Order: sequence, then C-alpha cells, then structure tokens
Amino acid sequence: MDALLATKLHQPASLTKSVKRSQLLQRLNAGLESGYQIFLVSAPAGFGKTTCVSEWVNTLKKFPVTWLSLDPADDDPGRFFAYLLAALQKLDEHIGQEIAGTLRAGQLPPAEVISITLINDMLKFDREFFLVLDDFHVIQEVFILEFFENLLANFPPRFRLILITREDPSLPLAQLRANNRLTEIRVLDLRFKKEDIERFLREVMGVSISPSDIGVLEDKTEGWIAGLQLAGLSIRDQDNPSDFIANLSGSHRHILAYLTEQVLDRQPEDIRAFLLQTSILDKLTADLCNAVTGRVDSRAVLERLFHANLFLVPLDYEGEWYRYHHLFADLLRSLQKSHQAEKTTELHRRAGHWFAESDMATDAIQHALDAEDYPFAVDLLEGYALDMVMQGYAKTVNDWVKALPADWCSQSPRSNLALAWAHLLRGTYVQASPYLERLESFFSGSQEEEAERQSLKTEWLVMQSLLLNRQGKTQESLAMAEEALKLVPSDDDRVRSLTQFCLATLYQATGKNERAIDAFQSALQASRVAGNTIVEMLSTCGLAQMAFEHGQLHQAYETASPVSAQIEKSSSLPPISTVIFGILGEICYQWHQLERARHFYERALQLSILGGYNSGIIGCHTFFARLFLLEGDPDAAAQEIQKSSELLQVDTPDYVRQETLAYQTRVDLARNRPAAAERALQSEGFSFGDQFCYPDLPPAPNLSYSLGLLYNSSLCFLLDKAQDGRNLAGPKNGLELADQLLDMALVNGLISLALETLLLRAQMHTVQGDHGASQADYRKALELAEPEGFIAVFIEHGQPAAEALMEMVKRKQLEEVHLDYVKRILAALSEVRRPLRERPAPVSSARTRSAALIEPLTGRELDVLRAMSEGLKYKEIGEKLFISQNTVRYHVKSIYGKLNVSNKTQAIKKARGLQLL
Amino acid sequence: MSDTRLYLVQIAGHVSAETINASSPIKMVVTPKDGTTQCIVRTDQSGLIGLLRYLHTRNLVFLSISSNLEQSGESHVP
Repeated sequence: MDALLATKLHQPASLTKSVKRSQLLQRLNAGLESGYQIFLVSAPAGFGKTTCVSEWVNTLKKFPVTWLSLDPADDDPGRFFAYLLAALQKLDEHIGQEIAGTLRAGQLPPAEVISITLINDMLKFDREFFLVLDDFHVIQEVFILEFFENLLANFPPRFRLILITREDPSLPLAQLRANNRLTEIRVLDLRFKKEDIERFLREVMGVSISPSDIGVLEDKTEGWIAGLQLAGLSIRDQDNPSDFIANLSGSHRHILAYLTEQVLDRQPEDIRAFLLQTSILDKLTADLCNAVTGRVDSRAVLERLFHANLFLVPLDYEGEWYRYHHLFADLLRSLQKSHQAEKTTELHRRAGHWFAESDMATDAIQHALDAEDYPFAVDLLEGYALDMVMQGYAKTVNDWVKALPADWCSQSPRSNLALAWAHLLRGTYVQASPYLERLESFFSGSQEEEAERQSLKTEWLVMQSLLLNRQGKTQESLAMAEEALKLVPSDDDRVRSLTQFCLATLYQATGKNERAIDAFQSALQASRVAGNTIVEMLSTCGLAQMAFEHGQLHQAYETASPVSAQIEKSSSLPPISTVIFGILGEICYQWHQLERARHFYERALQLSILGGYNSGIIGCHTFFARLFLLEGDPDAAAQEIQKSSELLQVDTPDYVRQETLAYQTRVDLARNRPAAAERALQSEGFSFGDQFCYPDLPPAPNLSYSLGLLYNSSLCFLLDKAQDGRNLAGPKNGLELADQLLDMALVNGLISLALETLLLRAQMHTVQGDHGASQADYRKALELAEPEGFIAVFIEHGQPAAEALMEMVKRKQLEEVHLDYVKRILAALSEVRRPLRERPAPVSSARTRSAALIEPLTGRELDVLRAMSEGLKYKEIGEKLFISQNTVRYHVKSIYGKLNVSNKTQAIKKARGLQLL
Repeated sequence: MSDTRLYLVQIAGHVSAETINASSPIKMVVTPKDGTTQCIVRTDQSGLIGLLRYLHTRNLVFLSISSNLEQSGESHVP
C-alpha cells in the first residue's frame, strides 16, 4: 500500500521571481485582523491562487500553518481523512489520533463523529493556526462535504481554514458571508492589472514591451496570469512583439493552446519531447522521468525547465518532486495524445512499472489502466486490492475495477474478493452479491493454478456462509463453512484462519461450545502464522466472550486483557476493539470493580462511536443503565436505556435487541413503572394475566445469554408484582420457567445466566414461603459464583439477597462456602446507597434536577461538571474519573451544549443556578 | 471569464427560498414562476459553477441558465 505522499503536505516552494501582490495580502490580513475564520480563494485555473496564498502564509510566521494539496484521488473519504489528519498532525501529533487509528483499521467514522473529535482536539490550541486545502474543487463526495458543514457550524475559535478552489464548494458560504466569517479572493481580485503585467513581464519573464502593448495584452488575456506567462515566453524571441500581441485572439483556452504551441516550438527538439512525454505524469522526479523518457539527464532537464519558468511547480523543498501547472499539463497532454497517441500508451506503461517498483500502488494502477495494459493492472490489483480495501480505500478500488473492461474485471478475482469483503464488513450485504457472482464465474472458467483457485473458492464459501448466516439460515451457513474447511489449501494460513473463525462463530451460535472453542483456537493459531491481526483479535475476542458467558471470569480477563493493551499500543483501532473493552467492563462489573468497569465501557463507547458501530453504542448505553441501576440511580439508568432504545434499528442483531429490552424492563421496574415493563415484555410474547405465559424456550443448544436475560426479566416482573402484593401466584407460575431456564443454562455452561436465574428462583421460593428451597438456591448460587468471584449479580437482587445471606450466615448454613466470600458480598451490598426496587427513586438528586434541562445531563456529565467546578484540568479530571482526556472533552462539549453555554465559567454558574452542583 | 454577471437559473418545480438558500454557496433571489423556480444571482464563473453543482447535488432539474439580464430588461436584483 502507498505510504502517504509527503509532497502533498508541503506548501509549494515560493517562486524565485514573482510579482508581489501586496493588495491581496492586505485584503487577507484585514480578514485575519477582523477575526474572519474562513478564507476562500476561488478562481479558474491559471490566476495564481496557490502562489497568492503561499505568499500570504509565508508572512504569517508567528502562526502554525499546515498545507494539503488535493488531487482527484482524494475524493475518497478514507484517503481524504488520512491526508487531512496527516496535515493536522504536523501541527500537533495528538490531533485526530483516535480517528487515524480507526481509519488505519479500514473503518470510516461517521462525518459528525470525525468533525466533533477534530473540533475537540483543535480547541486546545491557544493561538491561531491555519490549514490550507489547495485544489478543493476536486472534493465532491457528500460525506466529506458533510464533514466540512459540521466543522463550519462548530468552528474552533482559533482555527483558520483557507480553501483554494476553481469553483465555489457546496458549503453554506452565503451564511458565512452574512455572518462576517468569510474573506474572499476571487478572479477580479487576482487578475493582473496593467502595472502588474508590466512588472511581471519585466521582472519575472525578462521582457520589456511598450505601455500600449501591455494594454492590448491586458485586454486579450483579461489579466490571466497563465496566459501572460506563456505570452512572455513567446514574446522573448519575437522580432515584432506588437504584431504578435495584436494577433492574439480567441478564448483563453484558444490563446493558451496557441501560446503553448508557440512556446514548444521555441524549445530544442529534445526538450519539447521531454515536455510532451512527461506530461502524462501528475508528479515528476528525475528517476521517474528517466524511466518514462529513456533519458539519463532528467534531473538537469527539470532544473532547466524550472529556471526557465516553464510551468514547473516544485512539490518539496529538496527539489526532488515537481508537477506541471495543471493548465500547461492539460495542453501538453492533448498535444502528446494528438501527435503521438500510440506512444502515450507506452509512456503510461513505463510510468506504471516505475511506480510499481517503487511500491506506489495508487499511481502504478492508474497508469496501468491509462496504458490499457489490463494484464498489468489486474496483476497489480490482485496484489494490492485487499490491503487497500481493508485500509478503507474501497471507493478507489471500486473505481479501478469499474475502469476495467468487463472481460478483465472477471479476471481480477482478488479485487472482486476485496470489494465483496468491503461490503460484508460494512454490513451492506446485498451489495456484496455482484462481486461474489463474478468470483463464481472465475472458478469455472479460469486457467489459474489449482491452489489459487482452491484458495479463492474457500474464501468465497466463507463469505457465502456469512451471508447465509445473516439471512438466518444457520444450518446452511454451517454446512458451507464446513465445506470450506475441507478445501483450505494446506499452506494458506490466512484463508484457514478466516474459515476457522467463521466456523467458530457458527458453532457458538448453535451451542456447540467445545467445537467453537477448538475452532477459535485454530483460527487464532493460523492467524498468527499468517500475520492476520484482525482475525487474531476476533478469535481472541470470541474466546474471551465464551469464557465470560460460561462464567470463567478469570480466564476471560486473562484472554482479553493483553489484547486491550495491544490495542492501546497499536496505531490501528479495528472494530473488534469495542467488544474487547466491553468484555473487560462486564468482568469488572461482575467483580464489583465499578470504576474500572465504567472506564472500560467508556472506552468501548468511544471506540464504537468512532467506528460508527451502532450495536456497540447500544450495548454500551445498556451497560451504563445496568451500572446506574446497581448504584441505585434509576433515573440515570432510564436516560441510558432510552439512548439504547432510540438507536435500535430493523437490522440490529437479535442479541443486542434482546439485551436492551431485558434491561429496559428492569429499569422500568426500578422506577415503579410496571405497566411499561409489562408492555415491553408483552411485545416479546410474554403475558401476565391470570396465567403467566411465555414464549416457548428454544432447544437447549440455541439458548443464548441475551435470550436468557429476557426470560429472566419476565421473572423479575413476576417477582415485582408479587412483592407489591399484586399477584402472589405469579412466582409459582414462574417457577416452571425458572426450572427449565436453569437446566438449560447449566447444560450450556451459561454460568452468568444460571446465577441470575438461581437468585430469582430463590426469591420466588421465599415469596411462596418455601424457605428451604430458597436457601438451597442461594447456596447453589454461592457455590457457582465463588470460584470466579461473582459479586454484582447478588447486589442486583438487593435487599432480598442480603437478608437471605445474612440469615444463612447467622444460622451457619453456609459451611460449603467460604464465609469471607459471603462477607465480601454483604459488604458490597451495604455500600449500595439505595437498594433497587425496595426504595422509591430519589426526587432531589442532581440527576433528577438535570432533567429540567431540555436534554438532561448524564450521570457522567455531572461527575465531570463537579470536577470542573473543583478547578480540575482535563488531565486531572481524566485521572480522577479513570477516563481519557478525549472522553473528558466529549463530556465537556456535551455539557456546554446541554447547558447552552460556551465556556467553563458559564457552565458552572448555570449549573449552580439549576442546583446541579 | 473574470466578469461578475447577473445569472438567471430556472429550476423545475417550486422550491422555497429558505430551502434553497439554507446551505447554498451564494445567496439567491428566489421567486416561483409558472410551476418553476427562478433563481437570480450575481456571481463570477467560479461561483456559478459551484452553485450549479450545489443545485445538481440536491436533485434539482435545470430548465435554463441565462445571463445578460440587464440588457434584456427583465426584472432582476441590483
């Protein structure tokens, strides 16, 4: 894959000779002094936009400035943001670090998330800083423009954005003008006036002509600098400049074409050939030019052209890379094409090979396509497409594949494979089908080597299996994955790791736990050999998740913890990161290490938002709801579960929906809203009339943790009714379900679920007056829970569990269980300020008062607000609350928004006024 | 090329001024006329191209684009 091209991040070097545009600089400086934040330099090609801005920023010595020259390939969000961040990180390496990590893992965060994150990062600048985006007209992607709209709407106060463009961008510039935020330099400002033309010809081009000729030249060129430069080059050798100037006619394009030919005609044959041949290159360096032209002296030629003002623009300070002025290059290219079309193809082919040898894939593939050298293009695509797609350059690869003739397209299986993966990973499953169909045709018609064909077919089967699984056809999906495993070439560890991982998830989904663990371990082993870090992480995560669900908290922690450390150290943040942090959060929660749990979940939430991972965001809010419930704050829990519910979509996976609903019910019960809880459960097929009815339990292997939670929530509802005296028969009805559920959970090894069911059943027995059965269940729960140190599950059941355990301790009925462990649970229970269910929700907490706001502050935001009011800095707040500085900034930004304030002092004042502090 | 001109862009259907100007690069004077919307704007070529692209990306259908309104005597904004 290409490294980022440093030349794009260089401010163009100043021309040795140029006409100083003091009026333009004054105009720009006036804008700066007036506090204008956006500078738009908009004019057609050849009016000196880049030169003007470059000269201006050279005068801004006391301010940090970063520059990005855009090209058409940058109209791909993955590539654009990679370069944008690289440009901003030249000012501060911490800007957008998390987004960069997400991009490197091939994910594209939502435009709003990118803008909010960058804005927060930019807020820490304590003086003005400048970003110049040159050739911004190449950006037409709605996603990128949306990012700029968000940025303009929430512009960091010290940020100054300079857009150089040939056309006004589709951004709300009219609003910016009306709000006095925009300084504009347009074509009328840029065009050379008579005195500029005179100075330009004399000082830059070394040409002296009469004032009347200058007047004519101004009329003919309308002060167009590119035209004047070519005119200057032509006039130099004219015996009668006045006649030459008088004969100029036609449109700018016509004048330019005419002048270009004039200039070319005046060059020695070899230089003319050099200009035409190298015009196919977007950027030039001596070695590349040697390769394309067959010369050996390109370095000297480039230097000569540069000093002769022949439209050569340096791209770096070392004089290594140049480009032709766009207009000049366009004309040279059309001349090259019209005079030597057949040779042009060969020039592109040579350029393609030079770039391929230099490992610059993007240029290599583009030149191979321009050369119509499809075997070469396909060869390059086969080598690079998958990596590029995995790094988020799917649009670029897609454009290349589209550029291939149909016959050749089907002969590039790896690029089709890559694009199919791109859609599968993004969840746009339907769009993966055409690529998979093309791949299928490859298997029957190809003459490729058998091993390659087999490897591709295996990967194709894995993708088909994933698609079938997505459609709910689990058995067909499993059969296909098993077939894939038989086909995996013995030496293809990458495909083996994919296949084993796919199988593992299917075994896991169908309750074949031992097979799932074996398959995850095989996937892990193969992925390490193949260096496939994504599958390595996915498999580790799968193992950790299975260990957690089977109640093996220590093993789950030991599996997940090193991966989380690896993620934090790496520069790449794959989507799976959020699951790893989520599992660690769950484990710490069960161990009753609540601050650590909160820390892990905050990280999981942050990464889910960055990755646009909706299920992850829902899961995190649901977790925070649980956490608040455990801490005795049902109102805060309700806010969190509300966020989860709002994000549920048609295609949200069942397990996420079930878990959300399960906790929605518990939050409703904790807030004394049984009717809402009942409605939620009824929507899932439960009914609580005279007779408790519940949906049929699935076959034991298909009982998942999340589905079990939902059934347990129905038991919570029955208990709630019984404890309120509304239906004492309920628990009796529920016992049958609890018995079945417990058996199935134990058979499936779902210990976390079984523990909760046991505690619920124990309470039902108590309500029924069967204290012996109740104590047996508590004892069994303690036996199951102690080896792995479960504590939170007991606290979730509050006072009834506390009373029962204390009674059993008093009566010395816990001889099988270590008393120390029970005492730890009781101690944790006594720490809870307001046990659930038994107490009404507080009415005067800060969180409740915060509900008076249009959008109330979350519990965490209140914590941050309190810390701010104590005068703590972001870093200190982060340390105090075990969250990153970025998370603190997120919260602060959100607090300001909700309180409708713009700084810390106002926020604290307003919060005090609202009695939030 | 470098002149600023008054342009009239005629669009199929009715679009309100608020909608069309909400995030436009240039503010237009917008009036409904016989089932079309007439947008009058004074700008240069870079502005016009940007504006046309802005309208195009909002799926608005151009019926005509004309300039020289001053000479034609049609009503226009100063």
